[in-house]
Amino acid sequence: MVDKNLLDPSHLHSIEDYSLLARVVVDGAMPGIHRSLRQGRGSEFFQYRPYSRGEDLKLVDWKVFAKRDELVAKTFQEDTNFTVCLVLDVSASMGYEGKRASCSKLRYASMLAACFAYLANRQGDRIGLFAYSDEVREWIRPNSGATQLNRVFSSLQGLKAEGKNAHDFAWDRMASGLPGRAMVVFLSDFLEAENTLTERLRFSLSSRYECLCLQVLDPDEIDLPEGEALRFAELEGEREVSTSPPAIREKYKKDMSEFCDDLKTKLSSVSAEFESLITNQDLGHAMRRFLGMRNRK
Amino acid sequence: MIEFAQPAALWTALAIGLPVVAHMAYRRVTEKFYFSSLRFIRPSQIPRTGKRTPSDIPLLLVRILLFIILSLLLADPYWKSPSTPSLDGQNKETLIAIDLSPSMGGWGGIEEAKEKALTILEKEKDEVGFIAFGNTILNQIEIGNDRDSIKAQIQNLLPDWSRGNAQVLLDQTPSMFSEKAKERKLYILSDFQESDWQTAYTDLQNSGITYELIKVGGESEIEGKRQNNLSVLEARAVPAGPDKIRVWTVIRNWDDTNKTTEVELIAGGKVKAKNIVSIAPYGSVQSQFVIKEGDFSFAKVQLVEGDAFALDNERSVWLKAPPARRFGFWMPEFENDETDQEKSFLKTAVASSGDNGWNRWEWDQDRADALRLGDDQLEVQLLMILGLGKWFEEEQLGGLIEKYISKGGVALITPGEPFSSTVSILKSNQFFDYNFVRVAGGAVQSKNPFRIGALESSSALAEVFAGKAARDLYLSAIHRFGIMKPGASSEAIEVPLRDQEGRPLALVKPFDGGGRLVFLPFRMNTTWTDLPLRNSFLPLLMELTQGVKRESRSWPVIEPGEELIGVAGNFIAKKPGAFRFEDQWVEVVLSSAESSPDTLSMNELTESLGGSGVDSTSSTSGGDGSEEESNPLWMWFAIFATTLLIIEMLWSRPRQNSNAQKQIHA
Repeated sequence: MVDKNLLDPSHLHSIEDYSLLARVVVDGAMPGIHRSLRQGRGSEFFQYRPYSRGEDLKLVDWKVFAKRDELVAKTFQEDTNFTVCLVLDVSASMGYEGKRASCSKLRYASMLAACFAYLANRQGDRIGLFAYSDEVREWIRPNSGATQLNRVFSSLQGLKAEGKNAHDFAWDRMASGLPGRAMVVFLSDFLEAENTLTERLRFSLSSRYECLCLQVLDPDEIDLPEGEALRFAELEGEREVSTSPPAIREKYKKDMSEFCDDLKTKLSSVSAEFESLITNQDLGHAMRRFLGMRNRK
Repeated sequence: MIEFAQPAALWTALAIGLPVVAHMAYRRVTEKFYFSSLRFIRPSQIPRTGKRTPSDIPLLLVRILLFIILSLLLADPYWKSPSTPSLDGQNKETLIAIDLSPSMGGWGGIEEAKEKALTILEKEKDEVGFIAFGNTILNQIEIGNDRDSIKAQIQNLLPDWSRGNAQVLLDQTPSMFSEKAKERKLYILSDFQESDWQTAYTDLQNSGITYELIKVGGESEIEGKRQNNLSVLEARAVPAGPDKIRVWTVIRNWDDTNKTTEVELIAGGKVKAKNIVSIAPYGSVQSQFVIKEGDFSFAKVQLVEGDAFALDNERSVWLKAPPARRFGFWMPEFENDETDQEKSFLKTAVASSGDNGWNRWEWDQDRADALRLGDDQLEVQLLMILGLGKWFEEEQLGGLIEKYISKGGVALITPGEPFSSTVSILKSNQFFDYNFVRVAGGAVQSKNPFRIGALESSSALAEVFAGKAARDLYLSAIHRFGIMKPGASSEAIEVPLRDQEGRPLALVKPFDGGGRLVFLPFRMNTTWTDLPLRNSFLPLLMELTQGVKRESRSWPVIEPGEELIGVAGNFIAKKPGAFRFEDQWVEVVLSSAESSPDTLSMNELTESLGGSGVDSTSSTSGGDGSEEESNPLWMWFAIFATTLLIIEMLWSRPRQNSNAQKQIHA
């Protein structure tokens, strides 16, 4: 049984260390739902185990036999040659945090990215991180191992929500650096991006790539914040609109819903999976969606 | 306590309703709410009802306070605090000064001044003095004297006739206060007529005197000008044919509107003639009356209708011919035939000049002799010095002549024997810087005399001798004359007459006081010239002595307060009218300056009196036993208003939302 509390962002938000956070989520709240690490011939030593008759004698560690007079076989972490590429939108709009939210959208997306990185590393996959707004903020090229994982965690720690999003420019840069086989996980609010999104994610039609688009939204973005009258100002622009949220709420919700549906339809057309997440939801749903896709490989 | 110079401006405080209405009517969303995307957010009408944010009320209060401060600022606030009152009443002295110049007799000035002075006297509890002034100090009661006597003096005040002079008051005032007085207060009640006050100056503050200017008689005043005044500016009597006299007058309108009035001539207590005149704004017109000569000695011209200033509505004029002007001779003690003949010619010529007896000349050798003996009175208008020679120097007459001419007298000099001696004496006395050359002509040349050369076209003589009149002058024969050469300092000497070769035949030296010294280089007898036998002699003589000729009237016209010096005593003019003094006729006229309706502004007066006076144009103030001090407060209010404005601007400026300011870290 999954402990829901451990997936609640309001609790996780207090954990500063992404390494700990990922372990809490993955090892604590979701035991058994992910495939264990593939062991076999690889380049990186994993652990010793008792030698069984009939196994290749190359696996025997003769130094240990000499010391303990016992046959033990070395096991190695298998290099799957599979890459999980985490793409994170860190534009200013991702910094929004409404009163009803547990954390900002960027924090929520970063927590998810940390968990995905941890899971992928546990499965021996190479992981990469690409963060962007109006320019490339972070670009950790895919690699495997604990060092790479720590580097990803450290990068996530230092990300700030600033600048205007430039999806087209960033995705072009990112696509040019993708390895042969990869799973691309997009974490963004995808606002203002639906027109060019299908064109840029057309690569996911290939059997070598899978694309998971996770839209992170604040509860305020679903049905507007509370208040009699507000003067809205864009986080990524100069525009301002004075309005009464109660007066436009129904129309806003309808427009937002249609926008999300349209986005989902368009992403389906390029074989990309889409999931809309709200920052006060627990992380479990997103995690299962990720694992489902990963295990299909 | 705070008082306001412009209390009407407090009505602008009603404008505090504006921010109240604005806060009630509008609901402006001033606080920004930063949001991820405005893509689906549409503007909508902001509801006017609903709960206001707490910041609205303080902001409203700030704005209301700002409007109130601005209203108070416009009302020109000042702090009026009574200074420490005197402890025993001995420390404060008050002086009431009343202007009694003639202009106070008009526009109700004197009545108003009396009324206000009595009010001050009643209210003032400390020691009081009184001073009345016109051209001089007319009346004064020392500070501390009986109040009843001051009251009686004020009640009996009448305007004086002498032209006002405020300086006498300002010079006298400091000495009226005692040195022990800690507070000195001066009330000046006057119409502050421009002609009386414009040159007055003193620094009363420097003398420790505070003053209050109380303007009276200014009810009809518009922009510093009082209204409704006509005046008789001038009146003269001149002969108008046999047994008739023409009296012409000038009436002035001091108003800015056209006026029509009736002028009448009164002689012997009866109205002899009337005229109706119409006068343009600030203009003058002449009005003439012709009456029979001999019935009366003097007449009075007056305006029939009264006006605001009645004292200048009449003027007296003598109808008798003025006394003759006098001439006389100085000659050597031992006369010869040449001198006798010359004297005879000149005496006949001068005595016959004048018009119908009104500008007569009278030979008065006694007065001429008195002048020769050192009498410095100007009793002789024309003095002829015949045959000037050594006797002139022996009697040391040079100084007397100089004094005589400097007072406006005219002297005509002819040469004596030898001619060089005359020129030398004139030069040594610095009358004419000319040098003797020689005497031209003689009896042998009588058949070929010298002639007078053409007159300069721009000269005064050329105007007199024009056309046929000039022919007689040019035909005049001069048999002998002294030739002279100008010296180094002869620029100031006029040469109105020359011979045909350009040599001087007359030298004229004008003096600043109107006097003239004329030197002819030939004698006025037939041995030297036939000029005395010619028609042009008299006009030539009078033109050369024009300083006398141009003066068309000879009786004195003086103003009240002026003095006429006589033989037995002096005549002091007290009031307008026609008077007989010794053998002279005197007209005393009111100074036309007193008729002027112009008054000085309080600002100009305050500057003339050392500043910081109190202007009280319509009511009497003060006299409550304590001095009040006024300190302007507008600067403090301006600073307060500016501070509030800055607070309001800072408060009402758009503030950034906290969610945008917060740095979002993942």
